[in-house]
Amino acid sequence: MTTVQDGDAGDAREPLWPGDAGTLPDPTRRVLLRLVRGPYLSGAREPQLWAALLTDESPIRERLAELFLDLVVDPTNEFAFVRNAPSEQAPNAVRSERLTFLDTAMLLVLRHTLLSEEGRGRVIVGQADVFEQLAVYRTPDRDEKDFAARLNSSWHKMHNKLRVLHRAGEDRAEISPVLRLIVDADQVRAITAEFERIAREGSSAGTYDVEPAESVEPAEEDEA
Amino acid sequence: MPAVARTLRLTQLKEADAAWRLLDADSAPVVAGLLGHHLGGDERRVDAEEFYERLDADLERLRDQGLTLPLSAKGYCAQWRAAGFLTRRASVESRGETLELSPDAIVAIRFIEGRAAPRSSATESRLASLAAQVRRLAIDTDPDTATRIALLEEEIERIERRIRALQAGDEAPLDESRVLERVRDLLAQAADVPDDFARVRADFEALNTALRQKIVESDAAQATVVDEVFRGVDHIAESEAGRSFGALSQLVLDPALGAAFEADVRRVLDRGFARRLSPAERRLLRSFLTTLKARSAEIHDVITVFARALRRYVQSHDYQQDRVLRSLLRDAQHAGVQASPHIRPWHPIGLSLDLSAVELSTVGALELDDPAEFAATDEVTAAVVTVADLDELRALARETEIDFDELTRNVNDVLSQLPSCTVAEVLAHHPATQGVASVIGLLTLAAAQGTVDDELESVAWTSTAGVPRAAVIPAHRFTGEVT
Repeated sequence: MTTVQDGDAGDAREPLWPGDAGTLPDPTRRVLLRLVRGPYLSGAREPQLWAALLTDESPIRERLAELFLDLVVDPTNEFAFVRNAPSEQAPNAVRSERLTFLDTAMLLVLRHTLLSEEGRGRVIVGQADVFEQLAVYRTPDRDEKDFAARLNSSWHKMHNKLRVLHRAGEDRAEISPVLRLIVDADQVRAITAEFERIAREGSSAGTYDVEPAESVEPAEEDEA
Repeated sequence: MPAVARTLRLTQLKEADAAWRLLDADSAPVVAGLLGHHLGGDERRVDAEEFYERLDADLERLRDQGLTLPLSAKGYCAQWRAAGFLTRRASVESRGETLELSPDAIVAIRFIEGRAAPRSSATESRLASLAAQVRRLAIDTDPDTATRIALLEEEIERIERRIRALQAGDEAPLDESRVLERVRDLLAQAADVPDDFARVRADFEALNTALRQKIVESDAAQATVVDEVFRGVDHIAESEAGRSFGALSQLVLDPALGAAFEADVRRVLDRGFARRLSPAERRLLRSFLTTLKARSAEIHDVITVFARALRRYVQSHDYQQDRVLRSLLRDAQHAGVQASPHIRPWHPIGLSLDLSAVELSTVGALELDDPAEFAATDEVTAAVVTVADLDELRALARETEIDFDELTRNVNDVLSQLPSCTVAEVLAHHPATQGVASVIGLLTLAAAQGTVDDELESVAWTSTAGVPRAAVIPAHRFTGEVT
């Protein structure tokens, strides 16, 4: 993007601490760390880091590539994040999280909400609203209380593990704009295919009514 | 028939109008009192969490006054939001959300407050300003230039007459009570202006949502909207709300007008009568333009953000992807419902989500516990280690424990001379070396391995402090050797 200044970043600099072997300026390193730590760098929330990212995008991209990480920048919505390098051979640097049925359903609801309300700026949802939309997934044989507990656990997973929700007041959460990019059309298609497979196979074999949960072959994972 | 039509129209309005709903509510005094105080004054937008706290404190005080208020602040706010009295927005400054009054609620609360402190509306000043406005309208709208000039000349004539009267000393300044009445009338009108801004903003938001929906959802309208956005028609600014707001904000932001207005306000506040205005009234007058500027700038931002986002949305062709994604999402959710009977909610499906964070866990993050952080302030003295004296240890143990070995020995010793014996008899032969602890030890042994007689007996011992003690207890008898 700003290739002119890129040479700058390679210059020898004052070390930041005794024995500092790094060559990047202080803010650029902060960007690097912020990206690696995740879940994303927001231009609106951290304008200084965002500016540093735009200045030194190519050395940052370079350093991340050394870690088998791919940098995704959305300049319009002003956020950036890292993901696994798109290569079969590369080791997986970022964690991936196995999704339960309910997690997936919740992700779809969140993605849908993000889609319809994005025009207004930040999208904040209420826990109760999301749960209400997911009520259709509770089959009559499923205990209501138990289902609510499962919903709760998915809701917390969205916060703590997947980090696609950020707390915004009690029982309210902001949907991360990153969700736009990590749940895209391909991902949604894969989810539909998986759901259809479950409906098809589940009705004939009924294997899914047995715990423990580790019986599903991650055959379609690559597709996602 | 017109009366019927009107009634029906109002019946419909009653259903839909949040202002009417507020007036109709049993809890109207609570709503108007609490919301009017916290959100109707200088502060019009409050952080939601903070607002709950303030409201809870007030609710508590109201309950102390005997009002029945079963819900928490949060519960009420949820209700009021659903009823359309409150508007929730993502906060600009913090991660959370803010609450403010909806335009309808502002109208209703203002009405209620007007009833609480009625102002005479048929004032002389109102009539005068009405007359002036009608005259101005007459001049401005007259198609005949000659008549307009004639009317303006008439105005000049009137002003010159007044100047002559002033020079002759015929006209005295207005008396204080009439001035105050005028100022208050002015303030009442001024107070309505910022409230209009809330409505303008609500209009813009509704417009933005509608346009976006049009783009994403309907095929036919989408073509025209997209076309217009491309042709540079600023859809929002061209709307009715946009045009009237544009005219107002131009006036507000006009520097010449602003300077003149502020100078006039300062002059008015310097007059003697201004002392009789309340501090709030003076503040309102002084900060009026600043408030208007801030609110108008804010709405400007909203329009700009909306317009820019809308144009970008159309130009980037994101809407096409969104349209596809929307239907894909619908399909996926439908498939999910089909699948739900066949899978447990917590069962992993064959998909995973790549997170956008690397888990940093290095041994380098381990920090050794540094005892120096809790350094002792007193000098540490090393204790001298000596070989323990067994007798001393035994003595220490005897201080805290009953010596059953000794007691068993004593009992068996007495039993070797007598066929049976009571606790008192044992004590007569072998005094209690541990004071009351020995007595209790003997009683425990007897209770477990002996019998309890019906009569009482007196036991005596010397306490560890050397004081003679006695007690009357049911006689406990040992009948055989104890272990």
